[in-house]
Amino acid sequence: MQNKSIKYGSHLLSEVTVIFLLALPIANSLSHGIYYLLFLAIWVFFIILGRWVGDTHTYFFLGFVPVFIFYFMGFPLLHTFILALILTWRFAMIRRETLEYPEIIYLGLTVILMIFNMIQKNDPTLIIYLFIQFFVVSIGSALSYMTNMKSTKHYVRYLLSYIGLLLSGSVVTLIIFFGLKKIWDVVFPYLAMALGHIVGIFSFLDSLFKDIEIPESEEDPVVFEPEEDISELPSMFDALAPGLILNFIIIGLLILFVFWLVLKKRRGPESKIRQVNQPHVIEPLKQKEEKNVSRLFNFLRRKPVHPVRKAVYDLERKALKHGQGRLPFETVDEWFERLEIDLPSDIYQMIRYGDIDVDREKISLFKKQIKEAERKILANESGG
Amino acid sequence: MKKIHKAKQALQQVIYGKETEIDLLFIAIIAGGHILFESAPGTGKTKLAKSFAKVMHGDFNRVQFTPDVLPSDVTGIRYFNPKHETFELREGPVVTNVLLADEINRATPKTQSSLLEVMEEHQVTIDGETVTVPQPFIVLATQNPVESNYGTFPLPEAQLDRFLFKINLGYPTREEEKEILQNYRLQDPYNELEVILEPEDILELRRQAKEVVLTDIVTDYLLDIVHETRTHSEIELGISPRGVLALMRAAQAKALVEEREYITPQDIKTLASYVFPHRLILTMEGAIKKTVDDIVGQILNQIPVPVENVMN
Repeated sequence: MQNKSIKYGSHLLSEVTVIFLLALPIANSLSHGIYYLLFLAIWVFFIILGRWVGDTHTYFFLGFVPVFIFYFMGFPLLHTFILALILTWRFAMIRRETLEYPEIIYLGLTVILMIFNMIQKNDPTLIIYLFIQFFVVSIGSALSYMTNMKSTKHYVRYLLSYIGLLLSGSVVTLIIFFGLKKIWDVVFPYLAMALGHIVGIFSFLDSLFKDIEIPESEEDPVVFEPEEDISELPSMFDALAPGLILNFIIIGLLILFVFWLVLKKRRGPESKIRQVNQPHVIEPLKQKEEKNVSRLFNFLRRKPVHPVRKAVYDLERKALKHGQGRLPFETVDEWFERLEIDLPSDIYQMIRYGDIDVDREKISLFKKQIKEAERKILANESGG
Repeated sequence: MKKIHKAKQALQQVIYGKETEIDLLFIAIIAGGHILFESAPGTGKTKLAKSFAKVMHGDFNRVQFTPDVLPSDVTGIRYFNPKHETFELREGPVVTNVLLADEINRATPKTQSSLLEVMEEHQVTIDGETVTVPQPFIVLATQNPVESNYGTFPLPEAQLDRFLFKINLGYPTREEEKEILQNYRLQDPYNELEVILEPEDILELRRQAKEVVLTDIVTDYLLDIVHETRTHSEIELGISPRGVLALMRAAQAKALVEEREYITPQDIKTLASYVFPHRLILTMEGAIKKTVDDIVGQILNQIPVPVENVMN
């Protein structure tokens, strides 16, 4: 079992690194160290505040502090508000133990953001942030587990898998960086040119203003004579600095990410698990933590091949979409009972747990029953 | 299998509203296990044991445990017969098919331990001579949960681990009690019980139960649950390998009774609530906060059941 205070602390520091990497494209004028310290200072401020303030809603009223600090440090106003909001929100969520993420997610986000920043800034030394993140995650995790001697063995296994991931991840990251950098150098001018053309399409708006006659002044107009040839002035395409485009892209992605998280939280089956099993589910599974590494490779898993298993798989997937998915600890019978579906599971269980095959007639009968169950699920949803 | 269902129905005519407990009784005897009943006096423990013995045409013995009961009173004794001038062996009540060990926690630890050998190895050593008990053999022990602390001796872990299930009979519902009053008004339904099974039938079912399949996927699920009991922060002593085997044997018997050739996660989940609680010892902190049943429920509600991996 982990020590919660230490776990909160390490998660907060991990998020500092992630948010720092998010802010990196717009932090051109100050050194990395200052920004990093700035984030840390704000986190520490919140941690100290947390000792006296129990209700996490209060943090949002104190969000003006990071706004002030960011603005004072020269951030643009929009970025100031967005970053302060994210920072305050994340701190409150960690304290509430909602929207918590396992350490592997922090490492994964760090790798993605680091590669992006390395390419954007053409700076391979940014790989240091992966090591900083790893340091925070491993030390935080170690300390939180070491407080409980029972969990020490569990932690050692955990740490070894992380070290393996870090080493292989570093090599892969550098390979990806040098490869993608070449592609970026080729693709970016064309991308920028395409954006310039799109902007050019809207240049007809200029012609609307050209036809308006401006009344002549009685005074002699001041004739502006350009020192340079107008044709050599920067075009609209040039005015769109790559940094600015990237800023908008990052902010857009950030907003989408936050929006997705909120939607996932509201619709996700995990929130339902908490509601249904409040008396029993008190702390997260240790197995869940152990499986985080293997989850990275879950996308490689395929649908079951057997038609009966496939039918149950599809039913589960559809039910999940309609908010009636099977809870992880439910057996098939318990799930059907909860949904009030009269579907005999013996054929499925025979195949799944008995490795016994059944004849085609039974399979087609089972499929029909599954279809009826699907209809029932849809009816349940429409019926509220 | 028809005989089993018929026997269950017959028992249900004597003991009302205890279908699950009667099922567990048959599962236990097929799995070769023993049962510890924990319930208040007068809830039908003795009646259930006697009825069960009658239905299966087995011998039935009862030992009323008190602090002055000696191990030899349970296992047997070698005594000197002055008539024949020889030492003769008198087998104790333990040599039977169904042994009711009533109020087992009132016996001293020494007397309680006299049951260890017979429960595990189905044999008893009396003054150096080993006597094998008839098969099938089952110990149905009872202990009163509201027993005064004076004059009782809690069962040691080694003893508890030998019981396959711990069952709380509990009180019947109002409707069930009404039915009991009506049916017992004129005569005791126990007297009308007939022999339905023979001991050989049980032995044949035991042989068949061993052929029930436990696939890898269900094995992993079972072991996940067991592992969790050993690493849970609020559990001092988790499930032993004997407990794991007990759960598997019970699940095999349950599958057989339900006419299946394979064990499902549902079998494991259902039986774990009866196999685990008396085998677990909570930490001081855990015991203050929760009961063993709470923690078993919590574990069962945490371990993912192998169905299809849609969530991942």
